[in-house]
Amino acid sequence: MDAAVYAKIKAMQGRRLTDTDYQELLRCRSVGEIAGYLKHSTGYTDALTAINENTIHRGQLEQLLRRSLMDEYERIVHYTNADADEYYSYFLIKNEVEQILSFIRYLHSGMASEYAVAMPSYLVGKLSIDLYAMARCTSLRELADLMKQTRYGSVLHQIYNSTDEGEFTIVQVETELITFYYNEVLRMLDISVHGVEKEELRGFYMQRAEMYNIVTAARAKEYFALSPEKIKPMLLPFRAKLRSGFFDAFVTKNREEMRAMIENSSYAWLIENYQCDTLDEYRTWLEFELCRRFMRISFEGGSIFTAHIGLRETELKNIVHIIEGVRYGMLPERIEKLLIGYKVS
Amino acid sequence: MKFINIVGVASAYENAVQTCCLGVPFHPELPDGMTGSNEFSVAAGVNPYAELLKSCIGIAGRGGVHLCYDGGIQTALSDQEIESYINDLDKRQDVLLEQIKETGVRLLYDRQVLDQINMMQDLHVNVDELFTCKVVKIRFGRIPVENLGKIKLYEQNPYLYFMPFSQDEHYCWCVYFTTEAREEEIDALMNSLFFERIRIPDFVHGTPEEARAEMHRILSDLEQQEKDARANLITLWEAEKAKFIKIYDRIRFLHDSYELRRYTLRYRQSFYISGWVEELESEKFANQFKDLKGVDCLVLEPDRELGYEPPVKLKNYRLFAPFESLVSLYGMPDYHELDPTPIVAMSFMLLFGIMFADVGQGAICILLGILLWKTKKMFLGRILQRIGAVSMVFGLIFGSVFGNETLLNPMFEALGFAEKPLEVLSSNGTNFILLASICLGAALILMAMVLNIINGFREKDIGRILVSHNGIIGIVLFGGTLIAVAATSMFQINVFTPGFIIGVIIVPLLVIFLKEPLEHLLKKQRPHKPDSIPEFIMQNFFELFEIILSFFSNTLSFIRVGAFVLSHAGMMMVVMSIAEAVGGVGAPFVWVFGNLLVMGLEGMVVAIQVLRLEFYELFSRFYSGTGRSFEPFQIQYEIQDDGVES
Repeated sequence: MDAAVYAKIKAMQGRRLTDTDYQELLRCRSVGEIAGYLKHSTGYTDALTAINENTIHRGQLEQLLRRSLMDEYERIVHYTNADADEYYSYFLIKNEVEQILSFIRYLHSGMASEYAVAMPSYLVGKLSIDLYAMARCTSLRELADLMKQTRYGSVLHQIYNSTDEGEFTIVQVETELITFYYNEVLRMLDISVHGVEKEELRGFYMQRAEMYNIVTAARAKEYFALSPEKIKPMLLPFRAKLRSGFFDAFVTKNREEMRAMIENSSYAWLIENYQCDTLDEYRTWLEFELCRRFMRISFEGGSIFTAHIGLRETELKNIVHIIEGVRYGMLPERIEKLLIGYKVS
Repeated sequence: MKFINIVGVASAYENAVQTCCLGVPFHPELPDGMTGSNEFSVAAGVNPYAELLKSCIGIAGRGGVHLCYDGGIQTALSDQEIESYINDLDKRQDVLLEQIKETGVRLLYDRQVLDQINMMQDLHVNVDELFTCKVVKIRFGRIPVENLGKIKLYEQNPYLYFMPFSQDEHYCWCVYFTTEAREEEIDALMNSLFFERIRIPDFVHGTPEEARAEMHRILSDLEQQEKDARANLITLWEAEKAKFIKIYDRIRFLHDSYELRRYTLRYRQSFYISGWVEELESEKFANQFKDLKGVDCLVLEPDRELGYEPPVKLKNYRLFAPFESLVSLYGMPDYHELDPTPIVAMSFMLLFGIMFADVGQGAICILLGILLWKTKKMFLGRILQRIGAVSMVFGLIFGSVFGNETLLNPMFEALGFAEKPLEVLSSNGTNFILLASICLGAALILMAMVLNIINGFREKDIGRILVSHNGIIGIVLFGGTLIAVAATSMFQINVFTPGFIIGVIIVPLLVIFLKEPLEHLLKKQRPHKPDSIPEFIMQNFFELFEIILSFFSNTLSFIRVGAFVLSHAGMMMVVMSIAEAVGGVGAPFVWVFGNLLVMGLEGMVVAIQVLRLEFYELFSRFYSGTGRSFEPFQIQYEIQDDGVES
């Protein structure tokens, strides 16, 4: 099973965008030109075959590109055994959590009805949750009741029960749902992945969780000036490379001190190797480097699969940066700085 | 080869450079080693013909004209007249191309309008009446199929009435109605659902059927306009092509010959250009400069003192010529080395023929080779023809036709044989084939060593001839050992007498062991003194061990020849067995498919194995491949369809 997944993914890797493709995309002066280049000169030809590049909407283009990733995911898992290889479904759970969070953000802003417009249509029928039914919910309670029969029922009810008559904060919901997601992934790893591969994948996810905590804490301090007591509940309860007590100290520091702590931590290599304006960019670089490492050295289906999906997601983020940059008239040099993995050997 | 030195005064430089490019192939040499001096400089500069050439290529590309050489570079026009002509032609072509583009864009849009009108056929309503509504706003267009579900969420919206016509895999053609008051809001909503509006032009009137007829008429007119514009473009090129190509040839010649500057040295008011021409062409080349004032062309012998190694141009008979590509894969021969192409050709054909012995499959190789050569001009095609022919010969010997081992039995009987002389898969046949492979390998290795000695004579390298393990002493050791083994095992003659052992084995080994000091002695150089005797002994001992091992392993390596004979026969036996088991109508299909599969797989593997034997077992004994090829400076007249200059 893993050998088939490995071979399939290695073949798909050949269709990823190269530096030359990025250079051509950076030269495009309109969304139509970008669509035209992706349609005619890259591995996105099949995904964009029916579009009219002169009239395509920016949002539709982005959605078609994301849909191509979902299609690719389905083609790969075709070679897996759904019972024995439960781990591969982490990608669907990730999408489900993202959609629930997206809806809750709209709900919190009083614009629940807008979710239906923003909802990615290509996910309908592919996830275990009914997106249309979710779009009709008008409160957190309704949502929790709707999800009762799904894996999210208990966590949503837990969130609802901890609120004051349904009044919730986005941060609280995000923390709970993302923690739930990582717990699910770890549970699936325990069941269906073994040996060194399991340890490597655990490390992969826990580093991502740690980096999430770093970014969350730094943002909370810098933009909202929150106290350490308010920041700590926002952090995920996972640890990978940082020493215990790191975050206890981290949340008490100011911006420069936080940066100094990171420069003295296991993530110092990020600061040394990449010049980013925000910590969020460092987080994306970390994910990219972890995926790249897996792709280079691993022969296990689960690791290769995770790496491939991660690298494709990075590629999609890069394309979206270019589309938005071109749409808003940014200079190519400025857009180039936002691209992850570009001109990295 | 002959070495050419062109010397002249600066004022004659342009003429000299252009004369170099006139016809006789000339391989220029970079002025290496002299540019460090303050006195000498490489002539450089921006090519003044670059822009004009770029314009020509651009004009030809846009007009779909294939650029080539028409046999002459002379034109009566001056440089200014040429530039003016090019600009004028460019403008005229651009006007026509713009017309084609505009009609193309209008055609594309109007075809979409027609698609939309076709979708409206079930709407029995006048289009004029629809669009003159003041309160109700109507929008025709298409929406991605996957967003149709989202539209359902707005079913209760009283200001939106959505009506689909038809859909394909990706899009649904539809119309929606809204009120004037809510026009902006509903348009924004539909826009966010990726609705693409298709505006029905003002000139479309009446019912959808009438509108369709009108659109067909309009499209027909546009198509005619486009056709006319294309015809005008063709007419333009019919009138101008000959003149344009002449002008292009002239500009290309001036442009490319200008590039010869980077091979030119300047010294005060003089210039120097050096390079190589073939010996037979040297006189003709030198004569080109006879009438040039202020320019001298000297023809010199290729001499190591010149500091340049002459380039090499391979020339072989037609039978062997295709194998030059294989030799150049490894590396061109040194100027003084033997050209190994004939050896490679004969040994490649022999080895491939033995390993792929089948009359029918050999014939297919020949046909495939002819096809590849005729259609794609691939050198592989010519090689396939030759190795296919030899495969057929050995197929006749082994009695195999498309895997059938009995089809040629009547032929053997007619020749007087009671049965097939060599049954490949019988135990006797197997042993014979494997033994013969080793003997063939040994013979080829000995041949390689003889070639090494010949190269030693050509290079005047006495060490290589006498004391190298691939020289005379190596032949004595290897050949003598082979003879002894053969005599002992096959004829039960014991030649391993003390004299034999000492003379044929011990002494050559000692000579090889002491190769370096002996070489110094033979070349009358200062005696070789190793830094450390124990280190010298240790190093040379292991080298000697490696040499002995390589003799053994290289010889045994040829057993793969026999192995592939057997595997080929074995695979075809399997194909025949399966065909027999399937029987009936299916048998021929199995037989054809099996043959194709074996030809494809086995053919590729055998070719690679033979190449490996050539490059590793043989070339390593006599061939350095450190030469460089003769690459004359060329004017790149031809541009391929993908824009690459050939």
